[in-house]
This record gives sequence, C-alpha cells and structure tokens, in this order.
Amino acid sequence: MDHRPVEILLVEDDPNDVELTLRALESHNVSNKIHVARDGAEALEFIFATGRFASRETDPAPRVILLDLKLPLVDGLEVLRRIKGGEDTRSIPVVVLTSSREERDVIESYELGVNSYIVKPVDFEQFSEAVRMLGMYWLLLNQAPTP
Amino acid sequence: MWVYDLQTLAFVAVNDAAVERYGFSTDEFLSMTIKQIRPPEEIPRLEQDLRAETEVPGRPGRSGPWRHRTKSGELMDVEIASRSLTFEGRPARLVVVFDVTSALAAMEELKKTRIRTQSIVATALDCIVSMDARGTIVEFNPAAEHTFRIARDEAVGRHLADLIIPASMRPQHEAGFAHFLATGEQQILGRLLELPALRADGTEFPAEVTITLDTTSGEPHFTGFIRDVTERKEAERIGKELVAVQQTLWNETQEMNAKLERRVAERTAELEASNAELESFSYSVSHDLRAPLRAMDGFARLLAEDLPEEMGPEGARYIGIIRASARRMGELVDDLLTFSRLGRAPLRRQEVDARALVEEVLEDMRPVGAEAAVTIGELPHCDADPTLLRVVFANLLSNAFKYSGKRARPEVRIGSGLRDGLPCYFVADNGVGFDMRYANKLFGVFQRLHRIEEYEGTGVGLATVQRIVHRHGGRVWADAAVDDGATFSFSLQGGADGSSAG
Repeated sequence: MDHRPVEILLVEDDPNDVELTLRALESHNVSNKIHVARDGAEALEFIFATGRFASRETDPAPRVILLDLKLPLVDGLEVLRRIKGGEDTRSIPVVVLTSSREERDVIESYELGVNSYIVKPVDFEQFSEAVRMLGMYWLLLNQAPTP
Repeated sequence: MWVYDLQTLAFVAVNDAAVERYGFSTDEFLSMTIKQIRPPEEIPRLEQDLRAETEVPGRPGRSGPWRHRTKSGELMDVEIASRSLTFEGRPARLVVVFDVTSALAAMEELKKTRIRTQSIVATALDCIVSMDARGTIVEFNPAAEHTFRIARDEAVGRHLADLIIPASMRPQHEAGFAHFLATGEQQILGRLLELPALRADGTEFPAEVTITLDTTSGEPHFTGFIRDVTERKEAERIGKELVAVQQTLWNETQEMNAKLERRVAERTAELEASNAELESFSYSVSHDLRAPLRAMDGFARLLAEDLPEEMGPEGARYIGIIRASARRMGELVDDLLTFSRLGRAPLRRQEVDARALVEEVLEDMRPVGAEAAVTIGELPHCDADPTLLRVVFANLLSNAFKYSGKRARPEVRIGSGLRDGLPCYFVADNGVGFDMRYANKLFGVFQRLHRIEEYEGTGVGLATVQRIVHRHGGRVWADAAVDDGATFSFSLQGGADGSSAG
C-alpha cells in the first residue's frame, strides 16, 4: 500500500471507468497520489481510518474525493452523507462523478453538501477533459484549508 | 197617550209623555188632527183603517206597526192599543202608543243578518251541517248536498250519525255525544279533526271537520264544517311517493358516485404505480446504459492512442465507427429518456406569451439559426405549459434551421393562424422539405425521412412535439413538398385523442 498521503480518493466500482479515469488523471499529470475504493464500505473505512485502514494517517486529508453514486455495499449518497456529517471530514471537497443525470440525485447530493456534481460523458475526450479540469481545479486552483 | 174625536179626528186630550215624545205642546196637539202626526204617505192607510174599523193585525191587543212623525220630522214606528169611549159627550177613542222603532229596527237588522248568513251557508264551499241535541240534522247546505250526494229535504230530520258517519265510527260518536250531554266534557269542539265520512252511496271519504257548539237557544245546537280532502290526501300520497322515489334515486346516485370514485381511485393508484415503475426504469436506463457506452468509446480511443501502428489507417477507421456508434447510442438513450419523461411530466397550464417564448428559444439556440432570415408574425397568448411549449418550439425551430441550413438564403417564418377552425402556431422553412407520401412516418419515434449523413439527428424531435401537443389536447400538421420547404403547425385544443400517452 502506498503510504504517501493521498491527494485524490476515487470511489468507483466500474473497473473500466476506474481505468479511464486514472488514465485521464495521469495523462494530464494531475496527480499520481490516488487511492481507489471499489465500494462504499471501503470508501468509508478509508476516510474514517477504520477497519482495514485503521492505521492510516488521516492528516492531511485528501484534496478531493471523486465519488460515484451507484456503489455496492454502501450507496454513494450515504457515503456523501457520512463525509459531510463528520466534523473532521466535512470540509473535504467531494465531487460526485456519476453516469446519472437524474434530477433527484442532483438535488439530494446538493442537499447533502456536495461541492460539485459532474455527469460522466459517454464521449471519452469529453470525459478526459472533465477529469482534467476537475483535477486542475481542486488540486491546483482551489485553496484548501490548511491543516 | 191621547184621546181623539172620532168625527173630527182632532186631539181632545194628550198626556205629558206624548208631548215630550212628539215635540208638540199641548196647545199645538189640541189644535191638530191625528193625520198631522203622520207622514203624508201614511195617510191613505189611516183612512182605510178608519173606514174599515177593523183591527189591523199586530200583536194581540195592538194594531200596527204604524209610522208617525214628530214635530222635528223624526219618523217613529209605533204600535197602538185603542178603546172607544165617550169624551165630553162625544164619541172618541183612547189611544196608547208604543214606540217600537228600535224593536223594529232590531228585527230588520236580524232579518238582514239572517239573510246574509243564509247566503253564506248556501254558497259556502265547505259542507255545513247542523244537528240538535238529539242528533237530528236541522241544517244541510248545498255544499253538503253535493258532497254527501243527499238532497237537503232527505237529510233534514234524519239522525246525523246514521246518515253521514261510517258505521264503524258510530258507536264512538254516540258514546262521545252522550258523554258530552251528560257531563259537558268533550274533546272535539273547536279542533281540526280528520275523520272518515259516509256518502249516500255507501262510499267513504276522508274529511276535515270542525264542530262548533251554540247554546244561545237553550238547547245545544251543533254545527259541523266538513271538507272533502280526498284530493288533497291523494296529492299528499303522491307527494310522499315522489319524495320516496327521489330519495331512492338520490341514494342510488350516491352509491354510483361512490363506486365511480372508488374506481377512479383504483385507476389512479394503478397509473401512479405504473408511472413509478417507468420512473425507476428510466433511472436505471439513464445510469446503466451509459457506463458501457463510455467504456466502448474510451477504450476504442485508447486503442487508437496506444497502438496506432498496429491499428493502421483501416483500424483507425473502424475505431472511429465504434466510437461514433457508442456516442450515437448515448444520444439515442438521452433523447429517448427525455421523450419518455416529457410524456409523463405533469402539465402545468398557464397563460403564456408565445412571442416572448419564441424569442427566448431563438436566443438560446444561437449561434444555430444565426444565418437564417427569421420572421416572427403575430403570436397570440395561449394557455399551455411553458416548459413543454418551449420544447415544442425548440424542436421545430431546430428542424427548420437544420433542413434549410444548406440553402443560400435560409428562411424561417414563425406565425399563427387557423387550421381546421382551430387557432394554431406554425413554423415554416424554405429547406429541403420532404415527400408528403411519407408524412405519416414523420412523427414516429426515431423515424427519419433523410439520410443520417445528410442531416444529423435522432428522429425523436417531432415525436416529442407530437407527444407534448397531444398532451395539451391539440393536434399537429405537417405540410411540405420535396425541395420546397416545410411547414409544421400545431394547435393546443381540439384534438380527437386529447391527452393520449402517445
């Protein structure tokens, strides 16, 4: 396991989407300090340093969490709720990156305090560009609170 | 009282009462004859009486009535008692005068009253039957004759109970009558009673009766006012029946309403369930179909990027087709979802400024349509869902710009008019048009009349337009000729299939 502090937590169950996203982040040199959680339970354990990640150093927190909504075990919205509900975790920027354009998902996410909601385009170029922009924004442009 | 001379008819003696009553002084009296105390018209009668020397019938021992006149001209009716005698040696007559003016007047009044009463009784609509203390009929008015079908002559003198009271009621009547005569106690005088009465032919009829008692002549005298209420009873019965029928109808209507409401509630629940299913279906589609499409597009791209030499130009072309297909499928999925959602969205009608809406749509579409000459005619306000109406115009305008885009001078006209008597809006272009033979396919989902490489699009725009227009209860029309432009019109009312889920 990589012990360098994680900059991006990618929560995504679809292996193809994982590969494409990592490829996009890589090709634009956004970051290489990325952890991938394959379901909601793993994501929560990672963020709150419990279970299999009990020894993880929670400080500094990831610069951004890219969160898919349709996840096995624990649903994306529930993960979002927990992150935004935790005193130490709610200031971590969360970007929902999902296939769903459903209005109710958008509304619910914003009500839970999501920082951004991006619909994954089918077109790879557009997807790649979206990921690049995300990375650039949250890692470089956006000012994170100093620990 | 006075004495008058039988030969001269002159007053020879007169008393103070006469003086006082007649107003003449004694001296005046003694200078008058008996003729002078009568009005002129009475004199012939007097003379006749004097000649006849007979007692004019009056009360026993009295003659009259005569009419006298006082000095003041006041007329009096009098009766006379007289006796012949000799007064100072001459034959004379002694007269005692009784003033019966008021008595006569009273009798006259009584007579008038009696006549009036008799006329009332005779013409009364109600039966008036009187009986004496023995229960014998003493009065039977014309109305009673008519109602009971018995002539007065046959009724008077008969025992009332036997004649007009039904046999079953007689014992009760006789007992009550006897009790009253004995004790003075009764329950029926002065009250409105409903009793059966008996006609001459033996038939009975319902009657309303009031009975009064008159004791002025010493013996009790009963008068009954009787009204045949057969017709009224019948009317009441019919009335009650009508009310009952009405009540039944009302109950049935209520029941039917309740049934209908239950059915409506059931259908609504079914529809809602169906909608909910569709909703979750679209939700799945929306999410689950896109991910594989993204993978197809993404990995095809990576293929081209990572292995260009292995792919070669032909490989690159295939990859291009794969990617384009994936993207196209993404578009189709999106359009299909939108189409489905628009068909289910609730219709929120309000007054819409169509002109303002069209101008907004044109603005939002830019730069699409920027090269076209757009003319906006009169666009009256309408009653529609503004969001959905926007989609209609957006689709029609998008088509209009697309299919006229290849013209040297693309023209698009937007306006309003009448079609089949219905107010409608239209969007017309001078573009490539289409063959009217295939017009019926125009509005089908994914139906296109042009090649995809000539004009892009998924073929769901017009299907969407039709769906929205039908949901508003309107109709769509398409008119065109090959290479000669097209006009699409739509109304928001007057559709045969109204809000079909087309």
